Amino acid sequence: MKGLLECDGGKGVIYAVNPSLKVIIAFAAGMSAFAVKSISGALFIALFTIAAAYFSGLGKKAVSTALLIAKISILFFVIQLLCVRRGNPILNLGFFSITDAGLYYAVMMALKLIAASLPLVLVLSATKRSDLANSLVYNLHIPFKYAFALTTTLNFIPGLASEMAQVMEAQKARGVDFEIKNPIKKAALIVPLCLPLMLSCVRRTENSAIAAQLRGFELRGRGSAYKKYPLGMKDAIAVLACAVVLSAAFIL
Amino acid sequence: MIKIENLSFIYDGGRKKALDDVSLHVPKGAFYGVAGASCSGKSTLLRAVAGIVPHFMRGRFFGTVTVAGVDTLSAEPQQLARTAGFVGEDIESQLICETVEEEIYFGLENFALPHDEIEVRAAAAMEMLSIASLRGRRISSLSGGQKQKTALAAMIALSPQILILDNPSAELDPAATENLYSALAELNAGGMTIITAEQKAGVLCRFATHMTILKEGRALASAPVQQVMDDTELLRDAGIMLPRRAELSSRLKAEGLYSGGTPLDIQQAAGMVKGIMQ
Repeated sequence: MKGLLECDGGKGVIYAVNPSLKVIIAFAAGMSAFAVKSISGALFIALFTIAAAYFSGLGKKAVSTALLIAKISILFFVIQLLCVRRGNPILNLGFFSITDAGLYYAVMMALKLIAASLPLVLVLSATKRSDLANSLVYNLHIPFKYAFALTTTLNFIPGLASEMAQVMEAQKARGVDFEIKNPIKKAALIVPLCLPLMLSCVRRTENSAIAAQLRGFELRGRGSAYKKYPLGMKDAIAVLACAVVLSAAFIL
Repeated sequence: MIKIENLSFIYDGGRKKALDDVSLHVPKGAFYGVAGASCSGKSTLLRAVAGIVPHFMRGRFFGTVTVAGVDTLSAEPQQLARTAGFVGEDIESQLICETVEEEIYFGLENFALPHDEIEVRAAAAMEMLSIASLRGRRISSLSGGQKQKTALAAMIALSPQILILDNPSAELDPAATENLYSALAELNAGGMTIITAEQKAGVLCRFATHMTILKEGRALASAPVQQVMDDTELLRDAGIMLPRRAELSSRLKAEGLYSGGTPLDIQQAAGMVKGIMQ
């Protein structure tokens, strides 16, 4: 399994849909996940996304991504749980009291975060950057420089993660222990590495921009790409399925 | 093909001249080597030819650089792109796509070449550098040498009139270096002008037709390769490690056993030794 936003070139359902269209669908699903008013609606969107990922060979990635987002949403969960005063108290913790309404909103917030983020993360994991950039130019008539800037930004994240891993390996070889359990001590080891790493990534991005310009990047037009991205029957089916699922999520 | 006149350059924030009054003429069809120790100005010289200096790397620029009749100061680097292809030393940052195939297609697509021609050119470039088997591989999974070849193939596919290479063998082992330079010699024989900065003087003296020696931004010599290689004192003064055959001929000359030119390849070195033995 590749990194979080890296495409491994599979052949499932998500891979087959037009790159621009699937990004639009993912955004629609994400917005809907925030807009639905019930836990079941948000859960439905999240489960449908995981099912679509499973049939695209991305089941493991979907589950691990959902768990990662769940970890991130713990903070929001706790804040929501402790700050909502409405409803009937379930547990009294001195200054704070946990209510049934607080628990409901906390669960909904966590589920909404998962349901909103998962579609976009999975779509990006199932789309080559070049296909996305070319399709944005071909289908949505976005100038290549903007499409390319967007995909380069997306590449920046896995690039940074990979460089970080390399730096940490090098530091481990010098005896730095990153395996320590104490999160504060661990952060104290990692934070000083972040700034030089960011600077080196920015420098590399600048050099990449020069390299792209030297290869005629600014001359690129809509019809230049080797591959074409026409919309077809499978795309119509994807839009229809998405419309049905999102409508159902609002009804539930 | 390339005419450099009294070129001096100081990078923004720098105090020392990276290039100091360099003049150079690279004739059409030449295989031009640029040699020198670290920080001698090799990379800056090549960047100036490609238009990167001063368009992307700012600084104080004096003199003129003309590439195929175009003044690089007035032309944007992308205008020069189809005439002069540049492959820099920092290979990682020059590979901007996800796979080898996409990388090679990138420039060809930008110049809106017909689709069948894109495929033909990409396949030929990969074949020439023996990376056809890497076609679908992700760039991040390649070794340093494979990345170097990919960057070069992406540029060769564009068929520029001039190929500018900054230390192209940096990540390559001796056998791969030999293959790379054989491929470059083939391109040169087909009419492409090549200018390359190289740390390995032994490689340059085998393949290059002309050489420039730089030291602290100044050009100590610019001449046909045999003439430059015969001046071993100048090479030592520039901090260039002599190839073993040049070292040997230099010592034999000092001993009064040999009076010919520095052997440029192993056959010439064998001939030199045979001559002395007889």
